[in-house]
Amino acid sequence: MELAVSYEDSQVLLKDKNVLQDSVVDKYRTAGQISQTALKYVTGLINDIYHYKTIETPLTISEICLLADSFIITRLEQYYKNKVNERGIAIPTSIDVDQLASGWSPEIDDVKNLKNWNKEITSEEDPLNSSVTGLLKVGDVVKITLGVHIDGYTSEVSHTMVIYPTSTNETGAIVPAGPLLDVKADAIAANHIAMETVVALLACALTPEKLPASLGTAVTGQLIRHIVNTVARSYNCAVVPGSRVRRIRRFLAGQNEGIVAEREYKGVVWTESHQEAELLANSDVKDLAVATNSSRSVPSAIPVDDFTVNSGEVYMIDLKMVPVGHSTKKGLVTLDVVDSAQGKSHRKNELVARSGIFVRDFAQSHALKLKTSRKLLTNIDRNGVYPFKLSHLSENFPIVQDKDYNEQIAALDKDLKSFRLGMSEILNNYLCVESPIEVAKWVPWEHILKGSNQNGALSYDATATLTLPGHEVPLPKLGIASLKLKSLMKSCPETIDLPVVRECTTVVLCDSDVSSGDKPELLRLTGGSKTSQPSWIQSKLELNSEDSTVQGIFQLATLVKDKRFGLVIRETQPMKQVVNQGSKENNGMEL
Amino acid sequence: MPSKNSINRPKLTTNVRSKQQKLARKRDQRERAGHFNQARSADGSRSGEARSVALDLYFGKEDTTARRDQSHRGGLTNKTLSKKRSQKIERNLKYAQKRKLLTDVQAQLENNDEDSMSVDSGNKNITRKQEIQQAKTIKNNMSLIREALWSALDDTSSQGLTLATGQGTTLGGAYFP
Repeated sequence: MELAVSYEDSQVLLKDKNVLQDSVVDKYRTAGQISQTALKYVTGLINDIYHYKTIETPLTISEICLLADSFIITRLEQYYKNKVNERGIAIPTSIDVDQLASGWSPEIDDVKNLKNWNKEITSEEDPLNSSVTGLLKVGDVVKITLGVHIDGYTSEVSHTMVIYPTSTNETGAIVPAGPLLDVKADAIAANHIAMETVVALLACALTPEKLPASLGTAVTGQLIRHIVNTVARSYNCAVVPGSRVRRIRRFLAGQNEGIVAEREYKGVVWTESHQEAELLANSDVKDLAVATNSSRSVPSAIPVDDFTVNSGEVYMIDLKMVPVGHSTKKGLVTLDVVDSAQGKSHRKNELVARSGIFVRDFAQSHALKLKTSRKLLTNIDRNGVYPFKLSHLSENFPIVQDKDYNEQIAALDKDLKSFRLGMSEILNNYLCVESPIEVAKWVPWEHILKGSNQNGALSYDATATLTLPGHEVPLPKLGIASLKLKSLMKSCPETIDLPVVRECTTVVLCDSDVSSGDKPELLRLTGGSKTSQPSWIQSKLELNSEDSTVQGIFQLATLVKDKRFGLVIRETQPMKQVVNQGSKENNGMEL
Repeated sequence: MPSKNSINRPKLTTNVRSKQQKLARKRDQRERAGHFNQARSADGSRSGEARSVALDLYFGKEDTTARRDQSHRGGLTNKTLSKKRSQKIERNLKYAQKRKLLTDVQAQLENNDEDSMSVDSGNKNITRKQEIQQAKTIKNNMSLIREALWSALDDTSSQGLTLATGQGTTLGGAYFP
């Protein structure tokens, strides 16, 4: 269904409100500042618990998520109060460990359930153990994702941390015992380099004459994809489906991808079909490999690489990578959705969980029967178009410092009980959609090619996760639909989980009229050297400096360092007096 | 259903229902008036052509005339094709084919009067053959792609793409960022 919005209104909403003015940039910057501070807060908490060990009873993942969201809300209170209609959490804080790719943000009442549902996962070595117990362990790759919006101007951030064994150095400070060495290190290196390169590349879009000659003359979608793929390949990694480098606009920050088809989608997305196309391009049958749906006359909701990055736009760079060096075989990297609905008894070593994050689907309407659910829906609708967690709707949210922590948690837990009841009716009538918890899987191509596929792409998966328009069929050349792919994934004994590394940042391409200096500059809202420093890793692999693309990447890196003639990149800093490296009593919060 | 004045009338249900019905009526009106349609100048516009939902569904064409359906591609729809209707379409297609054959034959008869008998059976064979041929080419295409993928797998499994000769990459340092 399409909502009837008049042409003039849609022009105002989509065009005028997205023109970068000082007021708009300031909203973006404030949102970025708060997300940076919140990220610093979460990393500080995790460091305190697992590295400095200043907090005795460790907080579980669900508690950290809740505290981070409370922190964001409390911080937001100070900015743009009564000046804008909407401001809040753009994406609830989620903390994904190892093979979880996105969406792990359990509520506090889920802790007991998770242990009950996953009785098979008890051993300490099982990588899923950390997610089930909510407590991290040494060697875990932890992805923190959060976001803030002010008046729809959104900044999102993801950062990857590693939990180290600790030792004390000669000055008495607690330091990591050594760098991370295994395949996870490759993925972290690749992701970091790819992220920094793409940021520099987007900065080049402001001054195209500075773009290294080996990379072409303009910053296009193809170039971004080529560079990210090159970096991933040289570190023996694969880009996980669902990664994207996309333009964001007011209230259109990718939070409703798959639910709402966004007109004029501009961005590079990575899906299974791109892995298929890349493999086909390697084969000698060249005429089959030309399957680009490039050249389009009208802007559509189908993402294609055929675009040029312009100044005055805002981009979100969300890259996820997995190491694929465990085997010499080639395989497809895909995502499996965790659910709590089916096959609890026979699935061994597979995670059973329910999603904690929901998105309202405003196209649906239904008269709900229960009073609880009607009340809840009113509450949800007040929340706006961004994803939410049930605890956000409670009156006992946010958790504040000057009240007793355990009492607040108990009150929240009580509220959640009635919310769960209401939410089930809302979900059953499709008024809200669960945002999926995804696990990265690797399936050997052999298995996919050997399997018969009688129905072709016609088999339809009603429970399929949110897909972008034009990418409903994961492997279009082979004609394998998502349902078939799922069954292939389940039936193959060689399928394994892969640890995912994720970095996400939001950048504003400021023209000279809104930049702080007189030159056009790239304003990096989130991430960067202050909050998203890479963890200590040592990878055996490196970039091949004889490759022309890699030379271009190196040139970009030198351009970023050059203050006078190079690219101007400014980073939003987290606020001062951020993290009180505190103890459990005040939960390390300075609210 | 209790009357409007009765003591236990469900106020909300009736009100909501009537409101929804009102809205639905308005929406239908707007749709019938063509407010949701694409502009006639648009690429996907099928303005002026005969329009049938059933035929669109049968041939797997998406309905491009109504713009509102674009947003729900791949999602839920209320447009269905009954078995009876699809059988009718199939039957009509058969008739159409026969009619076409007939006109072909007549045209050929007008062109050359001899060997009128062989044309009929010959044409029938061709259509059947064509069908088989089509099915074969589809299959061939798929197997070609499969072969290409197999060859790509064989090619690259031996070849090392990565470089592990140098001193590698180190990021970060001995501190907790």
